[in-house]
Amino acid sequence: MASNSLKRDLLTILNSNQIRTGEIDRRLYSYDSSFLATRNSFIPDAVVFPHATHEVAAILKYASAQSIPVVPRGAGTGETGGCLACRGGIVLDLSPWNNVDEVDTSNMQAFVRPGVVHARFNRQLSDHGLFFPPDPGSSQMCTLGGMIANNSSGLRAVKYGTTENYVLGLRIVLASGEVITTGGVNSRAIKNVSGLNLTKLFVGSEGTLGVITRARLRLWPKPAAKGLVMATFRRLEDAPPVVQEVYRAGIMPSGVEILDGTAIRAVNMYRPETALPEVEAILLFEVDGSPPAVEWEGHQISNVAVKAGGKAEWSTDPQRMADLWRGRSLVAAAAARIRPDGTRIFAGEDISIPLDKVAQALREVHRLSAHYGITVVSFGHIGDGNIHTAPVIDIDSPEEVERADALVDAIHRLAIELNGSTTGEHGVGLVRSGYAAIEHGAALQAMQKIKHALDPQNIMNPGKIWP
Amino acid sequence: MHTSQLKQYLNKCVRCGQCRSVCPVFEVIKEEGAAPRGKVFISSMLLDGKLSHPGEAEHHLSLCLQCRRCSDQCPSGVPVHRIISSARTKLSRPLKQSILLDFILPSASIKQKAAQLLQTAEKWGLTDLANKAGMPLPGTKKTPHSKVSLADTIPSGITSKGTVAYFPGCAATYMLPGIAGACVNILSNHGWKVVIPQGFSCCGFPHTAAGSQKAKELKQKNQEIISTISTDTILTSCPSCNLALKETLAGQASPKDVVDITEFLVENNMEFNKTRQLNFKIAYHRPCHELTNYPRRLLEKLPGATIVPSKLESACCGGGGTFMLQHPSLSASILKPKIEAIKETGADILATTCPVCTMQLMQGLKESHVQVLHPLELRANALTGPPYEKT
Ligand SMILES: Cc1cc2nc3c(=O)[nH]c(=O)nc-3n(C[C@H](O)[C@H](O)[C@H](O)COP(=O)(O)OP(=O)(O)OC[C@H]3O[C@@H](n4cnc5c(N)ncnc54)[C@H](O)[C@@H]3O)c2cc1C
Ligand code: SF4
Ligand code: SF4
Repeated sequence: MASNSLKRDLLTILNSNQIRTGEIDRRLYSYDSSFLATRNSFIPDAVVFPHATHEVAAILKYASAQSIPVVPRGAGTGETGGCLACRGGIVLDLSPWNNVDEVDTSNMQAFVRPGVVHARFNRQLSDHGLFFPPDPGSSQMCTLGGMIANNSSGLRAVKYGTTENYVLGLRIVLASGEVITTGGVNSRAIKNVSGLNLTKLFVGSEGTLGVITRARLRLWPKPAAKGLVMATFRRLEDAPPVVQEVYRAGIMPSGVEILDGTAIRAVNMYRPETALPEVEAILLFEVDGSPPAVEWEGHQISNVAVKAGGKAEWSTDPQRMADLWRGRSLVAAAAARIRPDGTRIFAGEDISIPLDKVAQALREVHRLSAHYGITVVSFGHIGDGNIHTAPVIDIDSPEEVERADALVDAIHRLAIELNGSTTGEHGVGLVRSGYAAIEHGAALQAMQKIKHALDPQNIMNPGKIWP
Repeated sequence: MHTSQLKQYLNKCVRCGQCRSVCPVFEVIKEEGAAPRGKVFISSMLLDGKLSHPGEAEHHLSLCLQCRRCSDQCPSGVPVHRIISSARTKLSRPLKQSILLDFILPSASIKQKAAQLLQTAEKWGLTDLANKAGMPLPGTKKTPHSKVSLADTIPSGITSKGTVAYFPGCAATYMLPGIAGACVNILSNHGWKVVIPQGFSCCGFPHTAAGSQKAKELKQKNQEIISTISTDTILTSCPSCNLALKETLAGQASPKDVVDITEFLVENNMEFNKTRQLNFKIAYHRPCHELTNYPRRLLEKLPGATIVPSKLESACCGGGGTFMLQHPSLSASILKPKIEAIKETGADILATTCPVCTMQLMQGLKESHVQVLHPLELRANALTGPPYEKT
């Protein structure tokens, strides 16, 4: 469709300051964090900034009538090309729509709009002694809408679970423009088993089934105390068994993270004040709860680590804990520091492995890295088997890019072979749809039937999840 | 920046979006084009010649205060602010702000005339008009900066400690001379002979930021002058001048120390036995380019003063050199929450080290009783000046 007529039509729904159709503005929405977006340019026909459910509904009604693809977008921090207009159409930038409508402290829930940034939300909740537990490494920038659409999680998923555990209800605009509220129209109940669980259907649907314009989220009381054990190991293979030992000791930490030698170097280069020891592996165990329990668990974990040949540092100093956690959170983007002419690419970065095969997976990734001659920085949520592998390459070398593609494919296949998944939290988007058939078998067709029922014209974020 | 280095930095951007969380401009204009990540993207498109209408990039590239928050926070080490200023040099026509900079800031005589003009404007009652136009006039009745003549002699009875060079910068020389006066006053009362080398040019910070070709010329001129100075230390009172001079001297054969005067005073424990009490509540504004805690430490040592914490002490004021002239309403939106937070503190005085911030904050506080002063002006006042009156 010519952009002039599209603009004219959109002007009947939105104000002119909510619509962008200029070349630069459209190009600015051609990327997210994925490596795919560095190599391709998926330029939408228009970008709009809706600020009300009825505006989104009118856009979708119009788009359905005209068969124009609609792509919801949060902060564009996704690593899968999920928010990109691979078939053109209208991008809805929902990130400026960032109101927290209500924090209902007595019922431990909040009502939010899609653009609220995760870290800001938790800062606001902190004043009420509450928190929203899922915590992606992208907390400072990603939106709650994006988190719900990707069913994001992060460093504390091992104890608290993923975003889906905290979504009580959603306001959704369907492809037709129809508006529904899942989890009970006026409900403020925490438990609810009446009817099919549509909330869970939309969580993790990556914008392919409808647009989230409001969410009812469950909150938890902030734990009274926290502590952090940093266990260091001279040999990488000594680290994974320690995690299992800690569980056997009857402890469920609130975070269990691993950094390999290259990840350690990257953190030290990004934040020298973190001063991590330069060893082959570091495990970070966060424990939270009542002060005596935190102390006891911290010491038990330290003992387990030392017995396994490691060294342990126990800290309850908020500054030290924040530094270590922050260093770990942003290593995803800091990985490129280890090679002056290198770029960290977000590709093959999110495998999820059964706990008893994590050590094997890490070994295999190192072998693949040597085989393809590409440095891979490994780190991640070892407590639940979700490992991030970050290839660092010269993106200007076509030959190196080709090797990286082969490496990424091998990493994805490795995850499936080890009875794991190609993605633990980042999602499928455009980059992993090729593995959907082998991961899901006949279930894939069932998914496609649901998609067709809700979006018969396939206007909602087409090209994602399914090939 | 060299093209190959620029390319390497551009490749380092993984588009993680971390910089979206810190940019004062993006805080107001919540669109990708105002986010640092977006400006890096536009810069790379411009440099690669991928834009069919490169002129359209001018607007987006002008949406940057050069506060450097993005570069400081970038996990991948991308010097975003430098990429933006490099891209500005590639625009087919220079940013409007750089035209102003190229003609006014490097020339002492024009600056002198501009300062006189501003004073005449005040006499003719043009202040309000200028304020309404978003261009606050320094030296107006809301400004308590006294006009102090620069004395380079040590008062009698004080033992000489040696000589230091002082780089006052454009603002403290022409627009807020009270700052330069206070510096010389304090240093000479400590026994330092202060020299202000002849011919110092603008530090070049605004030119580099705007992508003006003039930056190189100014840098060279200052390098030449500095090479003739016999002292090892060059003192500054403006954080942006301090950064610019450090960058000017980096890699020079015999580099000199560029030290902020507040650091010089605090680190050398220079305190006065006899000073007047300053019974004021003082709030502090930390300029974006102020990388140390010394100005605040100096304030904490002021006799009698109470330093009141402000919620947004380190938030950007939206001044950004000529940014406030080019984007007056955006600049005012960035400033607004800051002013509210300052008023909430109940402070009588707002102390800050950057002259641009001073002018911007004076504008924001013009309806209030709060005076905006450099910590050194307060220090000098406690030492020798007439008592300030609360307005
Ligand atoms: C440095 C870094 C670290 C990261 N760490 C983690 C981590 O620890 N855990 C983790 O899970 N992820 C992580 N991510 C990935 C990413 O940040 C998350 O997936 C995040 O939730 C995406 O949010 P966003 O607002 O950026 O969404 P976008 O990238 O803009 O969009 C993501 C998907 O959600 C859809 N969408 C967005 N908003 C809506 C809406 N309102 N309605 C319907 N669909 C919508 C989009 O269409 C797209 O498919 C990381 C990313 C980076 C760059
Ligand atoms: S400039 Fe740095 S912080 Fe910003 S998107 Fe690029 S890599 Fe991330
Ligand atoms: S330098 Fe400051 S204003 Fe400019 S892009 Fe970076 S954060 Fe934004």
